[in-house]
Parts: sequence; C-alpha cells; structure tokens
Amino acid sequence: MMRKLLFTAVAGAGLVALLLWTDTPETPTANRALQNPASQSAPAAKELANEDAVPAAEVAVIPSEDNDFILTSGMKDVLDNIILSADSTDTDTILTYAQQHCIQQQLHAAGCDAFLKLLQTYLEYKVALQTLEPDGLHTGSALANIREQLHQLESLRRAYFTNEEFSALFGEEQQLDKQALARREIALSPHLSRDQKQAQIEAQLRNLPEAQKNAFAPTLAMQDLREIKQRYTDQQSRLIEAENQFGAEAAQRLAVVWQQQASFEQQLDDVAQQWADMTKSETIAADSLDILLQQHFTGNQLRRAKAILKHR
Amino acid sequence: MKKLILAVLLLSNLLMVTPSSYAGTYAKTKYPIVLVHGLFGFDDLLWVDYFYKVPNALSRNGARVYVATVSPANATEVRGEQLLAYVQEVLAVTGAEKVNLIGHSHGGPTIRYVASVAPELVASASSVAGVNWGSPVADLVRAGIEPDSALEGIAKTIFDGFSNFLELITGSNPGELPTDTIAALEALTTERTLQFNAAYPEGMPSAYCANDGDLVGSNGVYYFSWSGGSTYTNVFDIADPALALTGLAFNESNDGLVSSCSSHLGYVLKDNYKMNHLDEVNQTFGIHHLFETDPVSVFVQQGNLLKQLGL
Repeated sequence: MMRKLLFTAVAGAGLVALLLWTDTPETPTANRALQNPASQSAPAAKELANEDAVPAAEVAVIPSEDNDFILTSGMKDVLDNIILSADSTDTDTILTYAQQHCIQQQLHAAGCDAFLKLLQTYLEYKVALQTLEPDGLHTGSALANIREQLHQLESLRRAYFTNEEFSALFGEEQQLDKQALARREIALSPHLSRDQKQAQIEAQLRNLPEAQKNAFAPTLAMQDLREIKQRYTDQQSRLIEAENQFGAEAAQRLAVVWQQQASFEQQLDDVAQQWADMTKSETIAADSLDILLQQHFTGNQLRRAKAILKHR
Repeated sequence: MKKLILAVLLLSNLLMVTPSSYAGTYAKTKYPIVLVHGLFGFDDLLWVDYFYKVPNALSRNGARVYVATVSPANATEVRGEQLLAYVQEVLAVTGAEKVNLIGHSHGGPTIRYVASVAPELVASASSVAGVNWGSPVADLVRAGIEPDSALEGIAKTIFDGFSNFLELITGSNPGELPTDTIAALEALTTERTLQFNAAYPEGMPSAYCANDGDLVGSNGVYYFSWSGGSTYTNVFDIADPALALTGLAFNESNDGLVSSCSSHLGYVLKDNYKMNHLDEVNQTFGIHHLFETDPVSVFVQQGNLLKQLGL
C-alpha cells in the first residue's frame, strides 16, 4: 500500500523520473527502508545501505566507447563497495551484485567477464588475507613491525595480481601507507623537537601528490587559520592575513564569526563574574544561577551558557 | 504523513541522479563533511591518520573533508564547544551554509552537542560507534580509579585491557587543547550519558537498544549511526587483544568499547559490522580480510547517502 502511494506520488514527478526509475532499481527499496524509521530494524537499515551502495561501483568504472571494461585506479573502491553491499562472504551472492553493476554500467559481455574475473581474484586474495597465520607475522606497533606487515601484505598482493592490476588496485594505497609510516617515524623521532616534528609533517602533507593533497587541503587551511589567530592578536591584522589567505568574502564572514564568538565569551565572563560575586556575598537559592543566566541568554545560547559554566 | 512526504522527497531526489553523473562525484555532498575523533584519538601531529584513508576516499569521490581538532580527552560539552567554534570557522572560510558531521566514539556525543545547540549549522550528524548510552568499560574504569577501589577478577582484567588499549594509542599529543581525562571518562559512563541524552535528546531512541530514533530530529538535522560488533578481527590488528579483554565487560554485541545498542542514534544503518572499535576508523593501517567489513567503504557509502539526500 505504502509503495503504491509512493509510486503514485513519484509518477507525478514526470516522465524523466520514471525513465530513470529503470536505471536505478534500488531506489524504491531504499525509500521503503527510510519511510518508516520508527519501525526500522538493523536489517531494514542494512537494506537501505546495501541497495544504495550498488551505484557506488560506478565511481571508478569508466566504460570505454564500446562499453568495455577498463582498469582504473579507483577500481578497489568499486570492488570493496560491491563486497560491502553484498554483506556476505558467499562468492555467488557477491557476484550477483557485481552482475548488477555490469548491467548498470552497460558493460558488454566481454567487459563484464573481465570485471567479474578481477573481482573473483580479489575475493580469493581477501580470503588468503584471513588465512595468514599469526605465528608467521611480526605484529606490534613498532615501526619495524608495521613495515614488515606491509611488506608481507605486498608480497601476498603480488602473488595474486599482475603488475598492472597491482598498480591499479593498490598503488595509491601503498603510497598512502608509506606516507603514513614516514609521518609516524617523524612523530616518534627522539632527535626532533615537537615544533620540528610538526613542521616536517606539515611539509610532507603539503608536498603530497595533488590527488592526495586534496584530501587534507581543507584541514590544512583550517590549521593555517589557527596559526593566523595565534600569530596576530589584534583583530585587524588577523583579518588582513585571513583575507590574504582565504579572500575578501571569507574574511568578512570570519570577522562576523569572531565578533559573535568574542561577544558570547564576554557575556559569559560577565555572568561568571556576577555569579562569583553573588556566591561570596549572599546566601543564594538553588535556582539562582538559572535565573541569572536567563537574564542574559535565551534559547540555544542559554543551553550553551549552562553547559560551559558547568565545566569551567 | 510527514514521513511519507519525506520519503517522496527522498525518492525524487534519488531519481534525479543519473549513473553518468557519478563519475568522481559519488560522495560529492552539498555540504562539507567534518570528521570528529574520539577519546584520546587526536594527536595534533598525526591527526591526519586517525580516520585512516577515509579523507582520501571521500575526497577521491568528490567530498570536501575536514578533520576537526578537539581535545583528545575532555567533557562532551567542552569538546562540543570546541567543535562548534571549528564548524563556524569552516562555514566562514567555505561560505557553505551547513556541515555534515561524522563522529567516532566520543565524537558521537560531541557532534550531537553541536547539532543540538546549533542545528542551523548542521545538515546531518552521523555517529560511528558513538557512546550514546554509556560504556560498561568507562563505568568500570571510572570506578577503578576511585580512591580505595579494589577491582578483582574479571573487572581487573577489563581494566588492564583498557590500560593496554590506552598504551597503544597514547602518544596522543593534545597540543594547546585543554585535557581532562577524568571528565572524559565520566562523560562516557552510563550515568552521565543519560544526563547528556536528557539535555540533548535529538535523534536518540526511546530506550536502550530501541531502534526508533528519528531520521530527522525535531531540530531538522538528519541523524544516522553505525557501529561494529566484533572485538577480535584481524591478526594484523595490534589493538585486537586489548579490545578482546575490554569486550569482556559486555554480555551483548560490542566492538570492545561500545555496545551495538549504545551506538544507536537516529537511523541505524547497521550496528554489527565486522569491525572492532579501532577498525571502525580503519586503524591500524587498515588491513581487512573478506570476513571483516572495510570501514572506508562504509564512510564512502555514507557520503553517497548524504549526497542523495541533498545534504
């Protein structure tokens, strides 16, 4: 009944939507799972996650002009998403999801076969990972142990995949592991001061290849902002520097935010001082603080003020 | 009726996306994603590696990702205020109207605080193994560090397991952020989380283990959650032995530190992925066999879900 209602409503959205319906068969189920969160169970939610997950495979699979299968560097995302969506370790179940992916990507038979073959090899590799004997591994948090684990991992991968496949599936991941190890080595170095470590790690992040740098560029920008705030105590200098770094519009927005933050802090300090004076000079009722806060704050600001003062 | 309208809107939104538009944009959310770490998770030198490879995967799929900096150990409200200031600045720098918050462990309640006191800035709050209904491990450890307390038997084992776990992840350097370990531990006890839930109730289910949290809270924020339900998962994983010990504090599905039931918030995507508490953020060095869940894929799928919801 509910699905009928939904379908009718969506039909009203127009022919285009209906045409797309055939391209995205997972959507009605996803919607069904979402329509009644009050009665949802974890399996229902899983249904949503799984059905939605199938298009994930479309991230990196780029069909060529004749819709053949091309191995790209994002292929591991595709394979992992299919496994996650299948939510099963049964090969047939996973392959069913993969075939659905072939259909969505409109891969030709040969292209789909190539894709499925790669997935099967990937599954065999993932099973082999599980069967590695703990006794044969040098586990632990020491750098040398982690390096050794990653070396063993690479050996296993190379045993299952051609150089081309290895490069596409694990090339970037291996780079990320090496970079993370290098950062950890810097962080653990007994010969560097904290500032030196920070400078070296930041330099490493800023010199990553473009694609990897993109992942951290926004966070690094926020760190730049934090440094600007630390370096310049007067508002004017801060804003000039922020404008140089983030542009005029961002600087204007920052000016507003900083002004609001400072004003709220000042109000809090004033109230805290008033409260300190009150507790010294008179016997106060249990709800005195609440009354005092309500005189100065409303709504969510009042809730924040209560929370902050409780932990000061 | 409200849910039906929501469902129709969701469906309409889903249908607008054509497969060809996914290339490189699978997780290209409208609003930036802000990742928030858990207890002791943050080292201001190695912040980059807490959500290991998650920013890379989300960014590769089109998302703009921020890894927030809050105190590694402090009261939820203190961390929440730090996060709120961070979010305000992210919005100022980007010009975005809202953010999508994703918090792991203590990061779960932390993002809930921000969503509750500043809902106008938050599109969604996704809690990953959030300590939303306390942790028996925190209860036990908090009791264990009381003066004159005497832990015996299994309690001592769990306490030791937690100490080993802390040893593995310490090295955490808070930089200039204020740290209060006792306040952090207290914040994660069952008693304190219940108080916290009463003050910031949005998205919470009606009872422990219930699955009826609102997808869209009364404040207009979307709420989601997922968590692992395994303690020992991988021979590569140095945290497994410690988490296997802390897992003894539970008599129900858990990830070593948080029970599946305690993690529930809003729309529960799944509460028993084959991951332990550190696997959930792809620690350590993210090696997963077929019988585990790849946590990075879970984050990317969540990015896609947020995108499909227009968030």
